[in-house]
Amino acid sequence: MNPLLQFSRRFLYRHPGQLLLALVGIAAGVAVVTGVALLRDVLIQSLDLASDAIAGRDSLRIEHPAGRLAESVYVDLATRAGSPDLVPVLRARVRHQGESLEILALDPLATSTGPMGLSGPATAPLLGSARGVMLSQATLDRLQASADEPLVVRVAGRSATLDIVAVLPNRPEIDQRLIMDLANAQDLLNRRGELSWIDAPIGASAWLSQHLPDDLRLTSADQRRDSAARLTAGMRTNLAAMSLLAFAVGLFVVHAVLAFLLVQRRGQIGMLRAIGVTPGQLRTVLAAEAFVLTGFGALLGLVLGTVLADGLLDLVRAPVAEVYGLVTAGTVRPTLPLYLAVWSLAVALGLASVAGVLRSAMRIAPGELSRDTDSPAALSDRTLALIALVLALVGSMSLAIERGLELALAGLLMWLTAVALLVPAAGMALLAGWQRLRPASLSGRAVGMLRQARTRLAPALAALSLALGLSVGMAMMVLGFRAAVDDWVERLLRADAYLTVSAGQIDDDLLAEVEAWPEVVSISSARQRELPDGKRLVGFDLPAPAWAGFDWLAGDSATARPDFLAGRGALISEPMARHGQLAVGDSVSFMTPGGEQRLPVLAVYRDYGSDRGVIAIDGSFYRQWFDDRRRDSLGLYLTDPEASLEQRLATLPVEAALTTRGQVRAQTLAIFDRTFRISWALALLVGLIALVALVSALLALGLERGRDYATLRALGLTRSGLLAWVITQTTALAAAAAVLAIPISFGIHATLSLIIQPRAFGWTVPLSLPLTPWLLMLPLALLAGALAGLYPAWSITRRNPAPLLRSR
Amino acid sequence: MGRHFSVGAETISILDGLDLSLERAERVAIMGASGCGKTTLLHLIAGMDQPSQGSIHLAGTDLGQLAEPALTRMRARRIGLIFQDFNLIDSLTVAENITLPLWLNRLPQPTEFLNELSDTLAIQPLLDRMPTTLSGGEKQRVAIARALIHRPCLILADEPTGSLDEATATRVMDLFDQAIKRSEATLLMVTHNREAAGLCERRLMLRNGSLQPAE
Repeated sequence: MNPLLQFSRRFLYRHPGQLLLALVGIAAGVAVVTGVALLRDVLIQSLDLASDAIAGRDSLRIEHPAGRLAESVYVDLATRAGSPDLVPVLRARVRHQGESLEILALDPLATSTGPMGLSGPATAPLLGSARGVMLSQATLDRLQASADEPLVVRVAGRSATLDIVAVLPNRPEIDQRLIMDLANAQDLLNRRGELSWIDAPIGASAWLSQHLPDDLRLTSADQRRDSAARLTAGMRTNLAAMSLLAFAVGLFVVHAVLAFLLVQRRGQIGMLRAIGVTPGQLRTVLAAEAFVLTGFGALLGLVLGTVLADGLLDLVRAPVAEVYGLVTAGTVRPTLPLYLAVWSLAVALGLASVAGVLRSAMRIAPGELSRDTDSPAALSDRTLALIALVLALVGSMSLAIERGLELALAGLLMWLTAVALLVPAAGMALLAGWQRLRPASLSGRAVGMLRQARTRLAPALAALSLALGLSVGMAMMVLGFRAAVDDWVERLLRADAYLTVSAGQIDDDLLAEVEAWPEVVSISSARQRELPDGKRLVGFDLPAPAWAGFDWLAGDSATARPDFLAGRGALISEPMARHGQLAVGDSVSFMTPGGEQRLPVLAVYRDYGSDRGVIAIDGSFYRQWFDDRRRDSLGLYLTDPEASLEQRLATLPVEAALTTRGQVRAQTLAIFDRTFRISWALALLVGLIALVALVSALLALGLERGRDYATLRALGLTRSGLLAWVITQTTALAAAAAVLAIPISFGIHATLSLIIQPRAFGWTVPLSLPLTPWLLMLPLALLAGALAGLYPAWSITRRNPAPLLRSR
Repeated sequence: MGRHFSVGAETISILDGLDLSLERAERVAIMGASGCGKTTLLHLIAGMDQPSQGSIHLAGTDLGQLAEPALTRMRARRIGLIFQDFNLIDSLTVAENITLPLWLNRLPQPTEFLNELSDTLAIQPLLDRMPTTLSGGEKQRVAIARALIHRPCLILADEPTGSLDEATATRVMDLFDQAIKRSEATLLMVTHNREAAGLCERRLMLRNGSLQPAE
């Protein structure tokens, strides 16, 4: 074998710990990217899976713009001459012990052509039981249920017991779904005569365009996929940004470890150069080494990422169902192109991250035999500051330009890179300050040794500061956002209680009955529907006190209310204004069964309820234009806010529930917390990767400074003294990183709140300063620093100092 | 030839007006106080450093005219280096360390010469071992074999016995003497050791940046 390759191979073989750290660093970063990439695919796939299961991947879907479809439409179409095979479907969301599921109800007698196994004979077991459901084995396992026992679910606010009549082979399309007979489901859900949609084969397009009533629409699989992609765009972009930041921290680890592998062989490389090895030969062998390490580490990362994605999927399933109304698959579906793309990206960026290391190796002078000195920095502080300044300027421009989210994220990444370049110098300045304060103490001397190894420690310090800054900045943003949502809900909820019905709808009769209760002073109501482009339209009936619930961002109640009530304009939410670049005076349009309606914008209000945007119109006009007299919920303004209405509820002809203002607020915040669990998980992963960076750098330092440590031992420093020395060093590094993370985290918090959130979701979050994350960070960072020092300290103290003291 | 270093505003001359020529197969020892520039001189001759003034010629070639790749190739082909601290590659076996220059020069493995060198330096039993398992004397003998294996025309030895005890140093120098005689290479050795210097026909003292005959 080529002796230089042998030199590389044997070195790694003889240093398994460093090899492991290098692999762990790259694998951890790649795992997060892979996991999030797989999650993104799941989110995009989440909408169209139901149709995939029933009528094939490219099926057509017949829908009513109002959302619900009369079953008579199906009967009319199915009985016409030449009718294609149509599949009527009713869908509803239910919960089982907190797990979100979807009832997918089919007509077993109609599903004769379904290509995915949900046709005729396969669905026959459903006919034998009024509450019979079929589900996949994977879903059954996830619910920890037994096929022999009844399945209790919460549906429309009440409990229902279902019988599992068949367990189907696993397929992603039916994951998290309960397949049920259509008529039985209509009965269970109190939605007799209703469908959610009708599926049709792709070849039926021409026939349907001739026979479909004008008020119905036909959507293709691609359109449905686009819709899912639009709905989840903000969430996916946020996940992608987090994963890239995690990967960037992972790259610091790779850089730190590979740089150390180089430094350790600095003397030997100098000797090789002295006896005639050319820089080109060295570059080839070191690049090959980096390629093998990053390539193999990335492979490990793909495997870990796939496992991680399944774990993270549990965290996103609930918020995706609650916020977007989508059911996600129970497991991720990795593909070879995705794996290849992530692997190639990881290897390319991994190699790019060690370009500086390779350059440094090329600069090792022939005959440079010492390995006990810190290698010179590749770039001077002045050059680094200049590069950081340029990056910060370009990053600021990217953030300032009122364009897409991607540009803003690129700007943020540029800023973070600029910060990473400046962090080592700032960190060393902090350590120097400490050393000046306590020059003769153990901590002062230990910190002094750290400062001699600045080049070695720079990547770890930058990684740790960025990771802490990122985690804390995220936490500040989430807490600030949570406080903003809390304020918004508190302000929005003006009624004393909210009435919803667990089955059926609130119609005029029910409304009149509730209005007649003596405890009720006035009632507000809302009826919401999704428009074909993903926006929401809501018809409001608001008494005067309810108008105080709006937090106006443009316009106000006094000027907007008269025109709103007269149908001369609409209110729009902030995301609607931002996505559509609309302001007061502009007009919005939407389709109604009677044609397009165009209304001027009267005012813009704060809304965190929908990131796609809401158009609000007066309820009376809503009912007139959409011929829909139902309400989703009623807000009750009571004579006595503490009044008990339980007895009144019992007199209603439908099963109804009352929720207090406090309960609605608590539920909203609970959904918020579930939505951000994924962010916490990713922030934690970033922190863990940074700890790997710290441990690796400290091990590197320990090995590099072995002779210094041995000298200290020889001079009389005890093992426990040396242990304290090393842990002091790790803790000092962590403390410096934590101090530097304070301004970094505030910058991240401000950028996420003021720039990224508006562009991703359309809403602004008032900048707040929650101090808790900072107060928690410092002790946690110190603890993590001390823990990170344990292994390096143990490793250093158990080494026999005698051989280290001898000449090489 | 001279070599100066700048330290802040001050310029320090390590070598100044130095003039040295070496004949083929000649053995020359350079002695001098610590820090007088002996190692700097070796690095300059090996092309690992450039003189501030003057020039260095090796086998008729002005080293100053060579670009870095050509300098490296010249060093690989024509020079054998021996260091005070041996500087063996820890991750290569003894045999691999010794034959490394052959691989660098794309030369065939001369089994006969390797055996001869190994016998002369008494390292035959060590060939399959790793450098970390060797004693200082053994390491230096391996380093000598590595410096000679590709039959360079110039051997540069920097304190070859500096890290060894007296007895081991004497034995290593005896073996070194035999090996160097068989190789017919020119030897320029930097040493503090008068006994080691005694192996050389010419002994020079480096003082105040220039060479004078040793007393």
